[in-house]
Amino acid sequence: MYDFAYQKPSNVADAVAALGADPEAKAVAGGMTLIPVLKQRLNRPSVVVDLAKTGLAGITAGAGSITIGAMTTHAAVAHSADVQRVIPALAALAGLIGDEQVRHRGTIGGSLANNDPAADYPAAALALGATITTTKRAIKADDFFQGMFTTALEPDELITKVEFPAATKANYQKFRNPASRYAIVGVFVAQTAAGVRVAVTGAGQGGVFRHTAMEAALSKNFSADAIADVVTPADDLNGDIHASSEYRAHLIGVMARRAVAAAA
Amino acid sequence: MDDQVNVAEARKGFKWVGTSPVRPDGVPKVTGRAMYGADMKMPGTLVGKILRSPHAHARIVSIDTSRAAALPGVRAVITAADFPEQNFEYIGPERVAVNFWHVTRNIMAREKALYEGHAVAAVAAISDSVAAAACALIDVQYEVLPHVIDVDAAMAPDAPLLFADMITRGVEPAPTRPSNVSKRLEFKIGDLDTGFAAADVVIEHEFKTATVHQAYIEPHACSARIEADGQGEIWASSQGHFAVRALTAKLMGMPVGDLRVYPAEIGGGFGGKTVVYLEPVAAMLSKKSGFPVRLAMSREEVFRATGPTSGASMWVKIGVTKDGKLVAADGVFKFQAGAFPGSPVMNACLCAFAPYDIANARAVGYDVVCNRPKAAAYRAPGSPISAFAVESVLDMLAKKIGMDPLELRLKNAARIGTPTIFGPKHAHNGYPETVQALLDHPGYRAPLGKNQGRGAASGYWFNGGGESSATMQVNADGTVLVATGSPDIGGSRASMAIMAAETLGVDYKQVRAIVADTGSVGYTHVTGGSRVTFATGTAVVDATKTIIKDLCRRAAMIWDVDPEAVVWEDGHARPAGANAGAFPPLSLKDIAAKAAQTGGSITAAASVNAGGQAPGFSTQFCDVEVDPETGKVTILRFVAAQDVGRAIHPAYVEGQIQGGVVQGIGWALNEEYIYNARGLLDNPGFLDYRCPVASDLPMIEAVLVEVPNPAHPYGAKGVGEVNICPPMAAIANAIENAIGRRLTELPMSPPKVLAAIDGPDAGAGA
Amino acid sequence: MSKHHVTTTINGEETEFLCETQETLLDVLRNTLNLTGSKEGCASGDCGACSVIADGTLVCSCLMLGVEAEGKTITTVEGIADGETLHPVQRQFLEHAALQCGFCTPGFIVATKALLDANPDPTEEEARYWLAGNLCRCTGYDKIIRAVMDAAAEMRGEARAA
Repeated sequence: MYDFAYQKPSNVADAVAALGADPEAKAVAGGMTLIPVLKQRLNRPSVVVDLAKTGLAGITAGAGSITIGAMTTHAAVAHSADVQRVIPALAALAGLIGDEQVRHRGTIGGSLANNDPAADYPAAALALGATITTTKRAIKADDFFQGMFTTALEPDELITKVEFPAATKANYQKFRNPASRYAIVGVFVAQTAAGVRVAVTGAGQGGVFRHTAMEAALSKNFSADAIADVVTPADDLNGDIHASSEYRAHLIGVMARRAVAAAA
Repeated sequence: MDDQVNVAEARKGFKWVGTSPVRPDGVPKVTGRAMYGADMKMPGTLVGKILRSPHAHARIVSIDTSRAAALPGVRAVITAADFPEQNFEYIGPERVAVNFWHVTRNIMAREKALYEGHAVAAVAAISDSVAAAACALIDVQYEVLPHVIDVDAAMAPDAPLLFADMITRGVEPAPTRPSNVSKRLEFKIGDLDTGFAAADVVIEHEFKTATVHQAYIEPHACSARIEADGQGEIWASSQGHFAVRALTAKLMGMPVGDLRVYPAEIGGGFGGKTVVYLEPVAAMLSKKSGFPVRLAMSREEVFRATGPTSGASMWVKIGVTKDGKLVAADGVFKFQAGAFPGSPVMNACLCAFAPYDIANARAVGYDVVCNRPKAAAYRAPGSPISAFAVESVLDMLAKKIGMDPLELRLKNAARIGTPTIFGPKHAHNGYPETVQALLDHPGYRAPLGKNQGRGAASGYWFNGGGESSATMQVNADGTVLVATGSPDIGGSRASMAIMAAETLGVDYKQVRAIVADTGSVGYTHVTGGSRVTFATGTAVVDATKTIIKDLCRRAAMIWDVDPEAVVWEDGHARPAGANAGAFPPLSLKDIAAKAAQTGGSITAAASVNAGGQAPGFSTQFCDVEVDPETGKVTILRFVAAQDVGRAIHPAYVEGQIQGGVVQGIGWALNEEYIYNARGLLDNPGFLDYRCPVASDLPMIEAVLVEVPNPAHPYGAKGVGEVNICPPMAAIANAIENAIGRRLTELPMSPPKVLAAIDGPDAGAGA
Repeated sequence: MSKHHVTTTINGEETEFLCETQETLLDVLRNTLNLTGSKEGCASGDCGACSVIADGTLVCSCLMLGVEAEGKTITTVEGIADGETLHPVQRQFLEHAALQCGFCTPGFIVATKALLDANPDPTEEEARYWLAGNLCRCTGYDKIIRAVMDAAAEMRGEARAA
C-alpha cells in the first residue's frame, strides 16, 4: 500500500464534505474490495474516508418493500428476518456472497458503488427495480449501473440506502467461481408489480444487464419452459481465465431456467 | 495375503503404537504461540525484499543499483554478482540430481530472467516501505525475448531456447543441435511387439495435466544473521534445516560448519520446502549489511517464483487379453521442468506401471525446460501425473473387456517377486491388499443415482529411507527427551514419542519429542519422501535401545551384578537369570535419580542411513455427480485404502490420506496455473487459484491396510505421499461412468466437462 | 506521515497502538503488538489464516486497516483460551488431530468460535459453509469438521456427536 491520509467522519454530511474537498479521496465502506486494491497499489488515494460511523446501517421493512442502509453488511441482510420474509431471494443472495469473513465486513452500498461485473447485488438491484438513494438524489437501478466498475455516482456522492420493492416471485441462481465465489454467471429473476425482470451478472462485458428476451418470454408465461429456447448470444459476454463467453452464454440459460423454476 | 495383519491383532502387545494421543507440540498450535518462519524477529532485524522479473524471458542487459543503495534506510543491495559462480555438474543420484550452476541462477538471475517472478536483485532496509521504494529504484535493463510456456511447444524445433547450449542428455549419439529438452529417459522390460501381439484389446490415448502448486498456507519465510567472522545462523521454515544449511553454505561459498540453522515450525510444504529460495538471499543481505535480515514471500511471490509441480503431456498404450491379463504397456511422458532442468519425470516413468505385473513395458520420459518457475517436489513427485494416464487407460480396458476395474487391477497386481521396469523386483506386498479392501467395502457396490458415477484408481510411490539422527536424554526425574533432525509437518513428534515410549515401556506423556537444530543433533535428511516415521523412527528406536542397554548396565552397577544378568521389561530393569527376583525392579525414574553415581548423564545418539523402506500403495474409489447442464462435478463420497505398514499414530496417518486425497481432488477438478499470451501468470493468488474448501467436500474415508514392513522396528511404511496418486484418475473414471465421456485433460473443470458432454466421446475412438 | 493513535480492546484488555494508515490490523497485531498467532497466508482475504473476531463478527484482519479498529473489541487466537484452560474448540482440535502443520489452525479456531457463538448447533453443512473462507491444505477438512461438531456438542453440554 502507498501511504494515505485517513478520516472517519461521524456523519454523512462530513463524509460528503471530505470527499468533495479532495478529488483523490476515496470512501471505504467494508473495504473488501478497496483494501486489496490498495495493497496491489492499483489505486493511490490521497485520503481514505471511512464511512463506518456515518450511521448508514440498518434494515427497515415498509409496505411492499425493504430498505437497506448502505453500510449494512451482507451477513446482516442474509440473517434479517424482515428480508427473509419480504424478499427471501435477496437474503439468500446475500448469504452467497464471498465467504463468512467477507459477509461480515462487506456492505451493500460498497458492493453497488463498486459495481464489480461479477458481484451479486447489482443483479438483485436491477431485477427488483431497486431505488438507490444517495446524498444527492434517488437513482433507479436502470440508470445506476453504467458499465464495469462504473455507476451514476459522482465523486462526492454517497449511497445512503437502497429500497427493494417486494416481489411476488423471485430467485437468484449463481454459478460461482470455486475460489473467489464471485459469480461466473448469476441470474436474478423477479416478478414484481412492475413486471418480470431478469438481470444477469458475471457475464456482461459492461457489467450487470437485463435479459430483455427472457423478460419478454417470461412476461407471457412465467415458466422455465418459456425461456428454454431463448438463445443468449455470446458476442457481448465476458471471456476470461475462468470461462469463455460461450460457456457463460450457456450458463445464463441454465441459471435463468433454474431461477424461474425455483421462483415459480 | 498371508502377511496381511488384522489391525486389532497387530496392536496386540503394543501399549502406544497404534494409539492417537495428542501431539506434544499441539497446544502452542491451537493457542497461536507456535513460532513459524515469519514469527521470529531477531533484535535489530532489517526487512529484506526481492526485485523480480516482470518478463517471462528476457536478457538482463544491465542492473544499476546505485540509486537504491543511496536511499536513506537502505543497508544492502545485492544481485547475482554477489554470489560465487558454481560448477556445471549434476550431483547425486539421477532421480534427484542437483546442478548448482542452475540452483544459483534460480536464486538470483544472472544472464537472463527465465520466468516472470525470477529474482533479479534484493535489498535490505529499515522498513517494508523503504525496502519497496528501494526495489523501485533498481534500474534493470531487459531485452525481452520470445518465451515458451507449454511443454509440447517447448519441444518444437523452432521453440525459443532458454539455454542456447543445452544438448539433450540420455540420447546416443548426442544431438548436435541445442533444444529445450534437458534429458531423455527410457526404461524397458520384455519385448513390446511380442506383448502387444498377445493382446486382445489395445487402447492408447493422450493425456495432459496442468501445472499445480503445493499451495502450503505458510509463505516461505526466514531470518538470517551472518557475522563479520563469517559465521551465522538462519531461522527458517523448511522441510529440512540440514538441507537449508548445506544448500545455503554452498551457494554462499561458506563452510558448512560456519552456519547453524534452526527449524521454525513449518506451515506446510508437501515437497515445496525441500529447496531454498530465500535463505541464501537473506544470508547474503545480512553478510553485506552486518544486520540480521528477515525475508518473507507474499502469496503472489509464492505462486510466481516457487516450485509448482510439472504440467505434462503424455501418451499411454496398454494391451490386455480378454480374460484380463495385462500383456504390454508403453508410455511417453513429457514434463515441464520449469526454467531449469529437473522435473520429476523419472519418477513418473518408474512409477507409471509399478503396481502391475506386466511382462513387456516401456516408459520414455522427457525433461523439458520452459519459461515457468522451476518445478519443485510435490507429494510423490511425478507419480500422480503418470498415474492419471495409466489408471485412465486401465479403466478403459476394463470396460472394453467387461471386467470390474478393481478385479482387473487385482488380477495384475504386483507382489513380492514381480519384476519392475527399473530393475529390482518388488520386495513387498501391500498393493493387492488395498484393492481387496475396496472390493470388500460395502460402498463399492452401493447403488448410484442419476448423473452419478463411481470410479477407482491406484497409485504407487517408492517411499524414502536415508540419513536420520536422533538423540535421547533421560532427565533426572525420569522424563525423556527425544530430539531428531526431522522438521515435523504433520504430527511426527507424536510418532517419535510413541515409538520411544513403546520401546522404553514408559508412559507417552513421560516422553517429550522435539526437533533439534543443526548444531544439536546429527545430520538428518529432509522431511520428504514419506521417510520420517520410517528412517527417523528407526533412529529413535536405535537410540532408545542404546539407552536401555545403558540403563541395564547402570542397574547392574547399582545391584553389583553382571550387566548380562539384567533385563529391561515394561519400563523397569529387572534382575534375570540366576539373580531373578533377587532385587526389586528399578524404574526409569529410579535409575535416572542415580545417574551421577552410575556414570553421569544418560544420553544416547543414533544415526542411520535407513534402507529397506517399503513402497506405498493406495487404491481409492469415489462417487461423483455431474451436473449435466453446467459440467460441475460434485464429489459425493471418497474412500481411500492405503497400505501403511503399521499405523504408529492412526489419526495422523488418516490425516495424511485425507489431505493427499483432497489435494488430488483439487488437482483433478480445479487447480491450474493459467498463463496469458505474454507468458505471465494470470492467477497468482488464492482468489483465482482454486484450492478446495470445506464446503466443496464430503468426509474422506481412510481405510488403513496394515501389511507391516519387516525392516522397521514397528512395521511402519511411509504414508504421506501415495494417497495423492489415484484421485485424478479415480475422478476421471467416475465422471466417465456418470456421463459416458472420457476426460483426458486436467483440470476437469466445469467448462471442459460440459464440452465433453456436448461433444463426441474421446474414448470412443480408442 | 504521522501515525494514528488507536484505542481498542484486544483479548479483553484495553490496548493502544500507533499505526500508519497503510498498516492493516494484521500488520499491527503481528508487528506492533507481537500477537503473531494470527497468520498471513495471502494478505488478500482469501485464506482466513488471519481471522479475528471484531465486535462479535468474524473478519479477516488483513482486510481491515489498523485505524479501522478504533473503538472495537477484538479477539485473536491468543484470546480464545481462558488462562491455562483451553477452549473446547481448541481441545477438540487437538483430540481429533484436526491440525497437521498448524498454520491455518489459529484462523480455524477463531472462525469456529465465531460460528458456535452465532450458531451453537450447526449442521455439518452449515459448519462446512461457515468455514469455507478458511483454507487448510493439510487435512482435507475431515478431522476439522469432526472437531467442530464435537466442540459444538460439548459446548451444548451433550455427549460426543461422533
